[in-house]
Amino acid sequence: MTWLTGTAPFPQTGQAPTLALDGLSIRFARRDVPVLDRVSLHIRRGERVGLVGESGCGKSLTMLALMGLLPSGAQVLGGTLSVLGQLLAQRAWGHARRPAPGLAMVFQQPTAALNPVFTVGDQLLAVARTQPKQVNKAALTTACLTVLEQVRLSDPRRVFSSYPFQLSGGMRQRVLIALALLRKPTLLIADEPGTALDVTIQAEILSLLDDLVREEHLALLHITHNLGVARETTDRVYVMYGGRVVEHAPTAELFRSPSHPYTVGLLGSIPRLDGSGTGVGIPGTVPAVQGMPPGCRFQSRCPLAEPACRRLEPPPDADEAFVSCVHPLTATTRPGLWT
Amino acid sequence: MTRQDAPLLEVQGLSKTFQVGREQVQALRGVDLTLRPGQILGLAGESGSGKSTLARMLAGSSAPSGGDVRLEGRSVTGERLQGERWFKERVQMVFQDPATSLNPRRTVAQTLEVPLRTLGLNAAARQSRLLELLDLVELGQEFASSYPGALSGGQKQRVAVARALAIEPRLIVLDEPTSALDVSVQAKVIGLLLRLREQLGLAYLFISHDLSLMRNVADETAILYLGRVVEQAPTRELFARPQHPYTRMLLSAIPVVSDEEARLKPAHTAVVGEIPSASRIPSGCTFHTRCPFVTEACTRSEPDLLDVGPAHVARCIRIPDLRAAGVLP
Repeated sequence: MTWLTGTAPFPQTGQAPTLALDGLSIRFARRDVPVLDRVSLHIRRGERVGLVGESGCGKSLTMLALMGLLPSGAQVLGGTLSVLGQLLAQRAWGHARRPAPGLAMVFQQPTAALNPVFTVGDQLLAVARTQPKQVNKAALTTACLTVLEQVRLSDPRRVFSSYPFQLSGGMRQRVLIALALLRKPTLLIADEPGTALDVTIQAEILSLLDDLVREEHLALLHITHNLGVARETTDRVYVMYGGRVVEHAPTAELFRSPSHPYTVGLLGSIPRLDGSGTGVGIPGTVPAVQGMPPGCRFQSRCPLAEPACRRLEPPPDADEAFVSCVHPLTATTRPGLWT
Repeated sequence: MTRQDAPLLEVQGLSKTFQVGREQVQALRGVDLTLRPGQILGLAGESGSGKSTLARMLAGSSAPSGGDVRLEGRSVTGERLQGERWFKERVQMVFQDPATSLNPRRTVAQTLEVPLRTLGLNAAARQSRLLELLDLVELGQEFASSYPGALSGGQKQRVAVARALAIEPRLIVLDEPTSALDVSVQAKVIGLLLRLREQLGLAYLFISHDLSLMRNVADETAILYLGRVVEQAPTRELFARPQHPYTRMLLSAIPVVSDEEARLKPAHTAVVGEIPSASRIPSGCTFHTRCPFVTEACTRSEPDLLDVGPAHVARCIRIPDLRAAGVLP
């Protein structure tokens, strides 16, 4: 059973989600248990949505499916993807080798994602040329300089003619965001932006993304393992564990009253700036996919596990706030769970 | 001064300059640090601040360009000494990424054998010490025959800690020991390191870019900027009353998970630019190019470390003015 923890977490305004991923299941050949099990995400324009979880939770595989970059061994067992209310054929995503229409992505490693032997300008022009409106080179260059300005690079012309190694890490990350903006996306996917950077530069990049969402009225899917980043830069959050979404709530609510034992354990593992300790962590490790129990996938590590957990199904609706748990935690049961 | 209070490690005026092409890279510029037995000293700062250069020098894998490192009063800057057993029995190292610091072709037992052989123990004694080490890092005996490939990130880091403990050092240099791990695993490894410190009376030089983690681990914290300590204090004091504008910029940028912590952060300080290259260190106070409180005087000479509180020093001439103006606590 899945407990709905509140009403719809975001004003619906009757608007169709900019991106609606519903019931995505993926397995790798010859293995029975899906590594992603009925994952659903809905994101609207102007919304900043976090997808959080630790290594192996499935957040990156979900992203790869949206970007058409699934590894060849991955079989899509089910699931639909709509962008701007338009249902996409499965060949337009999953293994398409190009992002689903309207989507653009900011990668994590600015050093690895830029080609070291071409100038920033060359790399921007290469993307600009692939865009539907073919125009002369002067207009393409102007478009490139415009996006460099949009990402607050103070000297766009100098950056345009620079090689990546001549730029600092923060500037390279801005160039990657500029590359994504050239595609005129409706949804921007940011995979751990700033994780490879120092905390001061990360803060600047995150505030730039915030501004872009507001100015360009973008939808933002922010994939991160850093719960602090999710708390400070998203409007609502999907928490993933073991290939399923286990909790979904408006950000403020999730951090004030987390309800899934995994979310509570994860938050309890984070060292606090007030010096109250580094937490106890969560015993055990994520089971290998062949060893996933039926039902709730967290039961092998959960102190509250009981037979009913084996029948828990993923939640049906990505718009409602929910906790996918037989024993959702409350203010009274939360503090004593992990000690 | 009792034996217990005698410093285990003294770093005095430590400098390191690399020649890269025609450029001089000044990675460390006169660092002074003291570490007592059983103490955890934290070193924090952005990439390029010199943290890892310092770690490598203390572990003996790089020779300083100037200054002195004394271990139990004995100067250990000569590279020959650092290969000696006397040095290895006192200082060991745990690196950031256990995936690359462990030999993938050696089982856990074979990895732990290497340091044990240098002790000249016979096979039976090595075997019993091996089991003792696994027990210390809370790994079951069945892991002895595992290869690193079969271990999780947290388990690998436990093996790296066991290897460091094998010859019973007094000091372990921990260079970002948990930054490659998930937080639910990090919490367990940090818990282990803190228990081992109590149990074995170890001292740690704890290097991390994660200030929230530092707050909970280090007894004392030093903030490094462009190869120099810019602020140092007992950890609780440093986080309660950060004085250097750079420390305050770092703290205000940390993403936190609760409103209580958000209230502890200094008022948001706009981040100006990025850390300059260590081959082009600004004149005067090296932070003046990014400092929101810069004055003309800041560009002239590099400030000394000034006393700004109990055991609390900071390298900034603006602190008295800023306090008087109510900008600083």
